[in-house]
Amino acid sequence: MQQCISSTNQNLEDRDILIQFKEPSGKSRAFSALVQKYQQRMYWHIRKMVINHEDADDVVQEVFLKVYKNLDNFREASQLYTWMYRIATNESLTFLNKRRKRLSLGLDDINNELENHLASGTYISGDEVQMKLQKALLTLPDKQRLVFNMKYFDDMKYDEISAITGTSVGALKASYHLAVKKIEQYLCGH
Amino acid sequence: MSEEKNHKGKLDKPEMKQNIFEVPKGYFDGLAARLNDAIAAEESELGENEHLKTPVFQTPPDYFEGLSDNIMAAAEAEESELNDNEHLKEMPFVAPDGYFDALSAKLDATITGEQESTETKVVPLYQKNWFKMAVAAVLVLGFFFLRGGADESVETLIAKVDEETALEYLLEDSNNLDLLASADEFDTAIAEILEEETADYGFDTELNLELDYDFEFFEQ
Repeated sequence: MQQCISSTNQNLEDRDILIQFKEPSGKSRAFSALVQKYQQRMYWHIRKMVINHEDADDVVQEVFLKVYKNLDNFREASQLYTWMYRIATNESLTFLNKRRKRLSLGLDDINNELENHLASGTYISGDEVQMKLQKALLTLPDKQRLVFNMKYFDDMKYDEISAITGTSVGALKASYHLAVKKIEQYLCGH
Repeated sequence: MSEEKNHKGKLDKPEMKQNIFEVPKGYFDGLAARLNDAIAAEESELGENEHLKTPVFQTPPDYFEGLSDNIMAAAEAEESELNDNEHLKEMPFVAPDGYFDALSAKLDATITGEQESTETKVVPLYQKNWFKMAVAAVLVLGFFFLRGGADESVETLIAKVDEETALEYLLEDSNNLDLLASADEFDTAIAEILEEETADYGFDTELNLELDYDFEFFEQ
């Protein structure tokens, strides 16, 4: 759904943002440009993991705050969007883990909670089959769900996912394949 | 018995322990090499027999050339039902109207708020006097009520109680376990706060975030 952009223009724009951000007078403007450019991608990446809009909003803010605090130290060893996806991914998983820990919930319990959010229908608009897919996704472990989301909904390439997650392409392919099998099994049985 | 003793006495003599066997001169010097040669000779019978080495198993022509592609094709075929379903790819989530228009301003406000709060000197919770007093008061009040009252004032008790005494008291009676459990919960809560605070602090001090960012929750 959201394409990963890796064209030269995009890189130049990122570089411009980074240069501007390092100038005290341009910091605020550069950050606004960065937010404008990446807010949708960050939000949807996070939202698909935490399901609930309010939670996604909290995590989005946390991610951009961390980006703001650490952008000066970004050394461009990776692309900016990869770096930001990495932070967003980690923050989403941290959020789910903390929620699980705080409420002493097991995997099934947190997934029930996420399923309740789905069922609540708040800021959710999908037909029966789309909702069934989302429910099937909630039966997967977080990291498998994450890989599935990036590959299936975001049409990311395996090497892009690999750069974000630091996992080998082979392991990602296996993870995605397992996820598809589980989902198909779920869809057949429900 | 005495016969056995006699034999034992004889066996104890040093000359009885003398090794009477001998080896040819230089036997041990060449032993390792000779063993290696013998092993190699035995193995060579099989190892050098090229005919035996020829595999009896065969694969269809170009099997390996296409193996990787075939596996991927099989995986893709299995995935295709889902992958090709464009309707399923549409996400059912929506964001509130105007959410993205307002996000940038909201983030600016958060950052300004953060900056203002960091300008104010932050005293860690556990260093605050009121916090220490509260912990002491909880322990003292626990003593006071569980012992059915006392003549001494709370201030005097605070002065007298040290942590070790408090723990001893809590452990000496099983009725105090509830109070101890509360203290445990309290400790856990404090540990969580500290963990969260230090985690944030650790993040802020990372110099090369793109290299060091710990993707801690990703496993195979």
